[in-house]
Amino acid sequence: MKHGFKSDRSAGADPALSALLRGAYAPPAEDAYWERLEQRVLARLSDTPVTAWWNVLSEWRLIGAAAALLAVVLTGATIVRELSSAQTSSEMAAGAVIESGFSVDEATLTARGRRLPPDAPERYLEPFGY
Amino acid sequence: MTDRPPLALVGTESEARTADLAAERALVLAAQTGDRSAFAGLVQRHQRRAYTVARAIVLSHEDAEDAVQEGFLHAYRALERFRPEQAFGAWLHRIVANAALDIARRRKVRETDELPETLASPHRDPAEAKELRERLDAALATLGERQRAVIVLHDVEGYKHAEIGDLLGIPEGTARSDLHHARTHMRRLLGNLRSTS
Repeated sequence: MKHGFKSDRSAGADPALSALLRGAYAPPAEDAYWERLEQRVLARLSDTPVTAWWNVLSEWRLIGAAAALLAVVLTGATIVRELSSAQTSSEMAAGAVIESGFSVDEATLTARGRRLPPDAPERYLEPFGY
Repeated sequence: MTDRPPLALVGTESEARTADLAAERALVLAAQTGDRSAFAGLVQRHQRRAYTVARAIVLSHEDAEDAVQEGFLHAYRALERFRPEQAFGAWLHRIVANAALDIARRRKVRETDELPETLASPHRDPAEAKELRERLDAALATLGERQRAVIVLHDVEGYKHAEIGDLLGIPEGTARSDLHHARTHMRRLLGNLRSTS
């Protein structure tokens, strides 16, 4: 990109000021200076890798693995906590039933089998004629 | 129409320009794959122009060097995002300009108090170039970094308003008005230049 110095001819330009500015802003002329600057630039790049996509992936691989491990641990902890919480709830529910003031007669509590009414056998033998 | 170059010469210049762009594109593509020597080639090609862009924005040679180094470093890191069909120079110089603007903002120094009296004294002795330079530096320091950049890029480096707008990330109209204000300001502070330089 080469820029000519035609700006002096544009409206409002002051040739004296432009000349003074040009003198003040002239870049160093010696080739040795530019070689040194180039070396300094390249030296600063020496510990900067090119950020190609595969390098970016490589950089994120470790972070991704750590995040996945953390997610697994958190999920496991949540499941364990949920199971423990469910167990506690059922125990508490059972306890509440046992300790409730609901009256149950002694015969019901001590009965081993199903209690049938006294005329049950007849009903079973003749279900339609009973 | 006698001042036009011969057609053959125009053709040669055009071919040389095309070859130059192709060579630059090859360097960019190689640098994008991690080839440092290719990036060194790009540094060689662009460091002078990068310096002039940075120098237009900051107040000192040292800051311009820093901005150039920062600019190339940022460009190297962002090389993956550069699309080879773009103009590498324009992309790089925009990055360098941003680095320079950052530096200029960090080191914002305004020394306006002493200026009017100093600048009012006529510069009679041509040997006093140092004093003239100091007055110029002091006057430039009173400009905002954007106005300073615009006047230097336009009046010294020959950039057009639109190019300056692209470089500094401002509309072309803003670059135009910044240039007008910067010239007026400098003329007011260095009013006696015309008769002394």
